[in-house]
Amino acid sequence: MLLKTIIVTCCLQMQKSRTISAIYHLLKGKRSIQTFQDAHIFQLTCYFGICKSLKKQTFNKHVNDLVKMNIVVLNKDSSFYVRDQAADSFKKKHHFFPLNYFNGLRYANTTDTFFYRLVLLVQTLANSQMNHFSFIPVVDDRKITSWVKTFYKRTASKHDMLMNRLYLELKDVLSQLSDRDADVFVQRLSGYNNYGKSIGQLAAAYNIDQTDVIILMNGICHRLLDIIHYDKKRYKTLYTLVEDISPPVFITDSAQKTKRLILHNYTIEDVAKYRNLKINTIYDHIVEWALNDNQFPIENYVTDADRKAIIRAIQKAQSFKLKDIKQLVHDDITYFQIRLVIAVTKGKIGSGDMYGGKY
Amino acid sequence: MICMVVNIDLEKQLRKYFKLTTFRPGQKEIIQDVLDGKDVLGVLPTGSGKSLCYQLPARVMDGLTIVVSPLISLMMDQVKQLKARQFKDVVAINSFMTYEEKQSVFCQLHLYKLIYVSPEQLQQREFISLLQKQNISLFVIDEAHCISQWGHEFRPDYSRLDAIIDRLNDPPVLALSATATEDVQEDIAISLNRPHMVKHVYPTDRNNITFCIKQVNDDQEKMHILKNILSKYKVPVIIYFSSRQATEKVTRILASSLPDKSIASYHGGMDQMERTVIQQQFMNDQIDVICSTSAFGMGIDKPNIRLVIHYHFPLQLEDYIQEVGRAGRDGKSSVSLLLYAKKDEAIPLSLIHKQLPTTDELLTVFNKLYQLYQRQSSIPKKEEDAAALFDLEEIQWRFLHFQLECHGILRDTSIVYHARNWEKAYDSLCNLIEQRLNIKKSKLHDIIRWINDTECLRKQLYRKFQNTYSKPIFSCCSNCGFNFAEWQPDSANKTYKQETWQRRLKHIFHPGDHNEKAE
Repeated sequence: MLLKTIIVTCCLQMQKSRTISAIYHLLKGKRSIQTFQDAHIFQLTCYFGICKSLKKQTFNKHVNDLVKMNIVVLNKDSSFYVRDQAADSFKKKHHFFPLNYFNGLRYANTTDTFFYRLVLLVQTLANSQMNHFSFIPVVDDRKITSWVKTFYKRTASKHDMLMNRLYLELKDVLSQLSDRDADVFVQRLSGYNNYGKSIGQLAAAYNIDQTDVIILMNGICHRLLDIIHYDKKRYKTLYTLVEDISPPVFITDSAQKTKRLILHNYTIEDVAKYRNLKINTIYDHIVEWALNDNQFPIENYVTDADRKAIIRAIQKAQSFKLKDIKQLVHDDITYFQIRLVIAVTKGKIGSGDMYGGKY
Repeated sequence: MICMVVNIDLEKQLRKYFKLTTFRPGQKEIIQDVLDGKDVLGVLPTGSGKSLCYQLPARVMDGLTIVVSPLISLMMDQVKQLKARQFKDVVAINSFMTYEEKQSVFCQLHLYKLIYVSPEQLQQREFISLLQKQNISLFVIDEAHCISQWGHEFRPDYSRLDAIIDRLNDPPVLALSATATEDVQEDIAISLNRPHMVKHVYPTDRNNITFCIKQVNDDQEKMHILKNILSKYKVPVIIYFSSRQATEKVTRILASSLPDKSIASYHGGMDQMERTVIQQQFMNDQIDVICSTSAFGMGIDKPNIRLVIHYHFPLQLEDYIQEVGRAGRDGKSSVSLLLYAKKDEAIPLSLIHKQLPTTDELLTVFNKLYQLYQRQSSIPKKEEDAAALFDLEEIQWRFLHFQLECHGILRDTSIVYHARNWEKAYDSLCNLIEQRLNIKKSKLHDIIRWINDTECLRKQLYRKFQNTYSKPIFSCCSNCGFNFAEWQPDSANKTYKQETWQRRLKHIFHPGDHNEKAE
């Protein structure tokens, strides 16, 4: 039910504006500018990439269930809308899933690395404590194993202390979750002659879908990472597991080049000619830049008056569909300008702060 | 031939490297011949320690040992186990590695003593030219029956191994298999171009296993029997299924009706960490019952599996013998139970058809190839992409790809067109597919006939593979009067206690404390 609850939440935000597969791409964490833009516009960054292994089939099955439950209405063109009341009561019924844990975009690069490093490090330390060096490591990924190897060697003189600190920090950080969630997390850890549970086993033990266990594990990791990042001093050892990982940068190298040229006072047309690319590609790059940079100089591309007009149109259309918005503004305003305004406002429209001061 | 290692004390090496005191039957004889530089064919039953026959030589010989193995998960398991035994200069090279990982291994080939490779990997020129610079002391072919066109698991890439061995300056060869009839043994020697291989063939029968077949009407009756048996016996069990879906479904039902048992499923669709933890939990007695596809068990050496159940019967007796052979490796009384419903026969038949393309599919492939040729296009490099393009299962494409190369229609990824040649190839492929289907069907027929046999099951099972078999130590088989009521295996009384996450966390981080308290 966790996946369904999240799909309903996403549906509520995206309805009438996108097709249902936009939600699929979001949950899978598709690295495309469109998905990234959607995550921001619809304020769904927290669910970005929370189930990278999600199969289209599984997703469709859940959507169909929601349709059958009369919560989501799917049109032939795969656009959709939500029956508000049914959605509300569905979400209330399944409130025991911690939707507030998720912080997907922020930890898109970090979650798996954090979890696998921790699992392998704990297994290694527990076994070496017992002088048992012939154990089968549960993690294979060479990037993870070589990190743990290096870390293990670097800390050789203080393994006991490290083990104890890790224990205390984990106990502390886990006690800030519900007992069920702490239990799910701890059951995944392996130690000395003691192997952790698989996703399938946890699904059986808690009588939930395997996909839900995967998503829940991700949510728990996000929550732990939030707590750890918030108080790095208190969780010093856990923080060392992730301090070398930087949050994802969603700007392609190509967009980066365009940005550099523009900042050197090249016009869009110049850049296109210089780089031998289409104007529309350069537009895409600039939208990418706008999404990634709070300092983006939008005034160079859209006048204040046009910006206000576009925002009014968005509110009137109650949609982020470019076509709908375009019809409500005067002909001189381009799609490119509308996309830029959407990019810099990132879904804040309607939440109040749009009207405060700045606009 | 000069041999540096003729006089070493093999028992001493066995103790030193593997912490074992005695060789199992056949091991020492094979190792001695390998160290003498002879070409050897070893047929040893499952669970008799085939891999030791090259792992020990790899450690004591100068130079590099190469092991060709068709099963990636199996080679990765072996590498893990060897590393756990402090044999560190070992690596498996396969399609799971990223480009960077491969390159980093390629740069330091000389640092390894033992390299596992997939047969596909050996088709790569860059890799071969790197190997040519190494001093290769032994070339091992695991699951050597895959060489034989008439074997039950023909792997096209295997039939090109002779050319590769040639290019690696003809190192001594060791071919190993658990199931190879005499025809297959002969095929192996011919295909490898080594007619004078020394043969070491050991019987595959297991005298501590009791064979039991139960005829049932439907799945419901199977479930009923499973529940009864599993609740009665507290022993490690493997249950084999022919599909992932059935595996998971039965796991769910059994787990909910037998809450005191720890039951888990295992199949190739699970990711690496899942498979490792399930496998190790089973080894570590944290799981009582594994429900699994045939993906489970290879390379697993758990001594006390008491019961191997077939919920679906396998495609051939060879598979059955391998899977049953995982029971009772400690020599104690163990049982193989096969549940058979008449309607099960449809399942293996459809599985067989899925392994080979039909003539219609073949025609589609030829048409698509022609279209690609006209567009001056080539086929995708990756196996899975190519299979998807031609709308085939990967196993079907692998078979076809090899054949198309043999007929000169494909050269790497490019397409060579000659109308006459294509016609000829199409006809000959149709024949070949028909032939292979017939072989598989006749193997299937053999196992079904065995299941329905009224004579001694043991006698009939081993008939094709060896002349005699040793007398059973315990009860023989259901046709010789075995009844479950009389079976009293060694069992462990085990309970799984619920503990809070705080306690579990403590046990993981302070394993020492926990053990003391437990004592």
